[in-house]
Amino acid sequence: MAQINWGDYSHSFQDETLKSSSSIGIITAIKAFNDRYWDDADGEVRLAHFAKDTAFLNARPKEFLIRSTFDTSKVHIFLHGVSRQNAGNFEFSISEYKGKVLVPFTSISKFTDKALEQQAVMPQMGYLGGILPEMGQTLIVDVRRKGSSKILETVAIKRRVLQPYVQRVQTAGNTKTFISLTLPRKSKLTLKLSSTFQSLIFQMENHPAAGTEYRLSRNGKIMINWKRNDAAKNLVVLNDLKKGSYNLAVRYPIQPENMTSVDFEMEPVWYETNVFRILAGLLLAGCGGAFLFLMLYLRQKKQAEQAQLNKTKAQLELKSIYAQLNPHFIFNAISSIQGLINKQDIVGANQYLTDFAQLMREAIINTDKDLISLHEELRTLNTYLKLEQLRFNFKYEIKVDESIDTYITEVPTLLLQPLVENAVKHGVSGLDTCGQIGINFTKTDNDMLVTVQDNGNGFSEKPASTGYGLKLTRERISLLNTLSNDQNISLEIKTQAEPGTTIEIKFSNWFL
Amino acid sequence: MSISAILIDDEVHNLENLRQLVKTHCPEITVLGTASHVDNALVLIQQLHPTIVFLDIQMPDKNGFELLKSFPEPNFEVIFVTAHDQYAIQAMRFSAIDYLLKPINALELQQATQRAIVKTSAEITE
Repeated sequence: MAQINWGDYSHSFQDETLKSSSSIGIITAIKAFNDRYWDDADGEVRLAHFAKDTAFLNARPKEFLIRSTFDTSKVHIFLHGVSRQNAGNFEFSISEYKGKVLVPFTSISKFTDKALEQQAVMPQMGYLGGILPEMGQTLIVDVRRKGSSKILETVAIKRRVLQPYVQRVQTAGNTKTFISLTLPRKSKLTLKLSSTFQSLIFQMENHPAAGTEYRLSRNGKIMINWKRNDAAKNLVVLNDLKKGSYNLAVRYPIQPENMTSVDFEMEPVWYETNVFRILAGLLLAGCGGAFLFLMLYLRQKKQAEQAQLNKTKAQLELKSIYAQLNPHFIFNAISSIQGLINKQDIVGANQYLTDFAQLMREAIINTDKDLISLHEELRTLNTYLKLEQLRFNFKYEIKVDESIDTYITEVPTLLLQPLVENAVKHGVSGLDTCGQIGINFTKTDNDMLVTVQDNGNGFSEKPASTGYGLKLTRERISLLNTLSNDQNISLEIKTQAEPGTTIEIKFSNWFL
Repeated sequence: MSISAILIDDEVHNLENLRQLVKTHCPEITVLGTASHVDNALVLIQQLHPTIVFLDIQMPDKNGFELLKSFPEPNFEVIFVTAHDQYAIQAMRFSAIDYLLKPINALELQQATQRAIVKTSAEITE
């Protein structure tokens, strides 16, 4: 037989076995560390195992040994009271409970040697063999006298599954968020825990024997490899758990093949979650967008304000041009009257003064109007030309296209006056009765074309140097154009129409 | 003693009117010439060396002040003649004898020319 060290084993037998050296009785030797895994309920479990099997029980002694084993070492069966001398009287069998016979009734042929007998302080014993039931299997060893069917001794050895059960999990370190969960009895569990719980305590089923060992992996990587529980035999304490997917495996060292595994997820706290990060990102992007939008909006608003400001400025400038235009005309007219008086032309001076008064009246009435009817403008021009006619004796003609309604059509107040004034001063003033001025209003589609024509010497010098009045008129036209989007006024001096000068003013889209 | 003058105004009939007024009210003044443009006036002054320049301010292209800038140390007296009164302060900077508003007041014209004559005489005496 294999050499065994008696002291490493735990021995079981019934009380009466050792009554005398000749008492017949089975002694089992199971590796001692199995003892540590036998729970309190072991005995009951053993009885319950056969409780209803009366046929089995009736065939056997009322009391017999029932033992559990957990590991893979063999259980050695000795028969006390049987030596080489009396072995011929006995035989034994080994069979699977409710199963096949592994060893039919056989004579005992092995015995303990002196060495073992000394170790054990035992007389020579029969050795029935070392047996190892399959997991969950129960093996029955029966001993009888040869020729008798009555079983003298029986031992039942069961190899039991020993698997730890994670009963509870609770958080540690943060009493405010303390949780304690009782877990269902299931080999695989999935928990979801916030990573605010950085320490977790797993509690095993209260097992009376040696503690479990555990292995912790995070995201598939082993963090702690099989380690005996530190804190207590039935507690696994895990600290500093970062977010991630964990697997905690626990097992009894004696039965490493049967482990219990708990999967748990340390969920990121709200500010660690991707959802939060995305939301934060979106919020940030939103804020950025809003800021950008605000900037653009403010810029556009500023531009609009600037445009409005420009418009207001243009209007103010127009007003200032009126202010320049009126005195310009007035003082020139008065100068003309002075000229007549100095020439001793009293009748002329009187006539001039009367017409001037009328012109002033019209100008004062229209002074605040941006636009006046063409009818009024024509009347003013007529008065003005009459006034100048007295000084220079020229002829003039104002022609208006019949398709133009002079009462409805409006023109910028006194826009034409300086041009007519130029025709007088620079055109016909030196020609006396040969001087001719023609003013024509024609309509082409939606445009109104006005020509002021004289038969004077033309602008012999630079066309631009045709007096202050023309410069003012150009400025005023450009300002009027900035104020209007669809209507446009353009001024052109045509010098090719010699003799004389023709000024064309085109009022585009004027009849729309 | 004869005082020479040139008249500068962009409007011909103003020139005529002024010439008439000067002739009537300031017989001691001889009008050497007239100009209706600053560029012409510049040449005229350089050629004729007038004692007094009657100068309109608002003229197309270049105004009266721009003409005076061509003469940093003028050897003539300036009398501005203008229809506008907004240039008076600017005119003072050019040490003008006077600033006459159109239509021209004959008395003011006489006073202005007298001042010019007195000033010129004083400078000659010195």
